[in-house]
Amino acid sequence: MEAQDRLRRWAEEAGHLISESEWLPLKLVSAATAEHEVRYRQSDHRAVKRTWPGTFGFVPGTRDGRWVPVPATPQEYLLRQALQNELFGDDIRLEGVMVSDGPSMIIGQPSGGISLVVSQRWVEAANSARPHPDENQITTIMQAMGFTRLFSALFGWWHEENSLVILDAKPDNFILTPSGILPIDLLIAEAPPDA
Amino acid sequence: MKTKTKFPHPEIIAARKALANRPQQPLEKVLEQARASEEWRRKTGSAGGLKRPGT
Repeated sequence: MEAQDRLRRWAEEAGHLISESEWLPLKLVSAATAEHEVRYRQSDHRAVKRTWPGTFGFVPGTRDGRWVPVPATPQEYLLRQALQNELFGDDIRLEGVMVSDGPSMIIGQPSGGISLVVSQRWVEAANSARPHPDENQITTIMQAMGFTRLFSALFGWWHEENSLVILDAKPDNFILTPSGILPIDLLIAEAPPDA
Repeated sequence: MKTKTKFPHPEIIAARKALANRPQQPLEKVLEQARASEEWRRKTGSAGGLKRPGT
């Protein structure tokens, strides 16, 4: 909770605390993912994503020698977004922090859990009725970037030269645009030297 | 010493540039795409091994 308290204080002091009254008017586009509630902001054509209260998504971690998604700290979540920008030319921005009045999503934690809010440009699909590439198309682009499949991890990829691991690289985390495939929300981490 | 790959990949850069030059989609197209993604997840039962907290 210490990291959350620090984050809350920073948001208050820096004027980056986002209120429900600012959040709710945005158009809800998804509340069905494991990590975020996603809304669309028409004024600047961006997807705005709020982590579930008291949680900060997932990052790749190791359990019994295998790469698996593990709950992220705020720092790990933000590093993951920075890696998405660096590796895939995305423009993810930290919008701010929200404080929930409701119960925490984590059993045993007090109410008032905080969420991180990030945004990224909305990525238009070539066909809005069929927005995602198939797994063969994903394999082609991941291999072109130098990744090899991690067979021990679900939708996992490994980049030997840069010691990067990516999980959750399933079709709905990519958009098939008229000019190629773009990843929008992957679990990315740099592997420690002993991984 | 290992040579590190430079990112982003040229194909990704090209796709981003093309995206930046496209006019903004109307809201109904955005919502249609969002509904299609939700439908894809519903049909495939896809959570990628992830489970929403509290469920």
